[in-house]
Amino acid sequence: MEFLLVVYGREPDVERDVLIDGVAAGITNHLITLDSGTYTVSLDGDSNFTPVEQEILVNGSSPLRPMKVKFV
Amino acid sequence: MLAAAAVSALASCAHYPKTAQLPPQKPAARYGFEQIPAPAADDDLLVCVTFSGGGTRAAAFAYGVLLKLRDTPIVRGKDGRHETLLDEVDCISSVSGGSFTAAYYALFGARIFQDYRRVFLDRDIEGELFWKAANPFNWPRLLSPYFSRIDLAAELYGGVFQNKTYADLLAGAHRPYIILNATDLATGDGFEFTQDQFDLIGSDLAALPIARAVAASSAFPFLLTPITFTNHAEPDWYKPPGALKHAANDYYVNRRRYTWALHQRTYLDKESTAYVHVMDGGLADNIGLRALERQLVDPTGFLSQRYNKKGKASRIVFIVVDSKSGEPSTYNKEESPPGLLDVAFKTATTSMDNFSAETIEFLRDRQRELDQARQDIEACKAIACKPSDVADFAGKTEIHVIDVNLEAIADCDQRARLLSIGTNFSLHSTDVDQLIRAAGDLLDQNPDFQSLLKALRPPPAAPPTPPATK
Repeated sequence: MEFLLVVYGREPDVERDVLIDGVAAGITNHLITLDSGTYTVSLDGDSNFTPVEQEILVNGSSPLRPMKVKFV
Repeated sequence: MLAAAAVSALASCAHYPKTAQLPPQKPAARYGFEQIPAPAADDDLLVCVTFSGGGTRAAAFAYGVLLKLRDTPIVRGKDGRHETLLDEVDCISSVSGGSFTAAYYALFGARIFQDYRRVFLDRDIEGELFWKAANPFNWPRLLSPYFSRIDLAAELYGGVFQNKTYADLLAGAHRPYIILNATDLATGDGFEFTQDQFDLIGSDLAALPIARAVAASSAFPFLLTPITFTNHAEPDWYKPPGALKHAANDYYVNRRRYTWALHQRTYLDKESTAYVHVMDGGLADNIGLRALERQLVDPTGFLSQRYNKKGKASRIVFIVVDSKSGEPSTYNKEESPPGLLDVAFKTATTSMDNFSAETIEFLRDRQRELDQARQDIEACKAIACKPSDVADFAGKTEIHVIDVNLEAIADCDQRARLLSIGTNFSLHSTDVDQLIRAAGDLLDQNPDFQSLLKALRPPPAAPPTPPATK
């Protein structure tokens, strides 16, 4: 089991839906559980962030040290 | 000469019914969990049940569990509405004999408690299938290379399910959502009767008779033949799931995900996989739990989404119903080794129970990991300077795993008696009675089930405030 934390840096307090492989799978600022492996991560809604999407490999994370992905 | 020509003509005409190709425009309705409304208008309590394979023994045991859930009252919501635990069942994933009960309940709801015993459990399905195959009128059809015993079985089961299709399940618009599981003979991996799976073979699940899905799920090796589906080209609108591409890089990171994706990708190669031949779901997973586990660990799965999003579900409950795959072996009483038929049967079924225990433990491990993660986060918050800096889950979802297994019967004689009931499709009604009763008893004595009921009990009402005295 892996743990992912996605942050939207432009408005850190705003919660946005997180897209994993194109599906709304969780929300920003909160831990998302997932199987280890490669995924494409993006944000739902307005395209006011960069990069448009990030391909990540999640492996070896823990709830207290989740893999962090930031969009700005 | 004329008769031979007629037989030959009939044989050449006989063909299994082909699946419909996906239309060029994406259908608005598709058989998926998200398309089917929750039973009590909320997903706060998400109950998923799995029914194992094991012939009528499994079907009756599964029916006993449904009966017990129907007779288990619970109180839900802020308005304190009275329901039964059965009302909260959102999905059923099933294999082989268990697929009959799952499909019948999904199609006909509470009617199962009126007529299912007559329509299926108390019937000699095996005998009827034998006589159908023995009927000389069916012989020309059976001579065709494109029509076999499993197609006759699907016709027989059509009577059980009143020739309903997945379109009828969609039109019913009520849960439970069902995943009937078969096994792809080429890859050895599970083949689910869901639109997501059928997308990969370019086929429209809506038009498929439920009976054919159940027949595929219960096509026991040697006794029955595989069911065949044409692997159609996908329409332009279809995009395969991202995991199929990404997991190709994950061999050293997640072999399980890599292998699943590798097998699923074979369906995209329309030349090498022009047809898909599927058999009994028990060959890949005899308890039907793997399909649901994937929904929990894959972040795009419907269970994962409910775990990771705010206010989606406060409890996700797995009730794993396993009637085991066969009778206890007596081989070791004899010096002479088992004969060819015994070895063939054992080869086909041994892996089933081995996988079952591992699969349940995999789920329990996920449950423990998540519980531990929550404890670690709470402990960290307690000592952190700024607790809000410690990332937490969006929701407070608790996972329950309830293992209902004939092997857990405490009384040795009763356990031996029930495990010795055959796993064929013809049982004496007293055996059916015992299996139904055992399911209820096992739930009554199951500590995890009792913990769930305790957790679902409404908090005691506050005592009335005494009138103020002057």
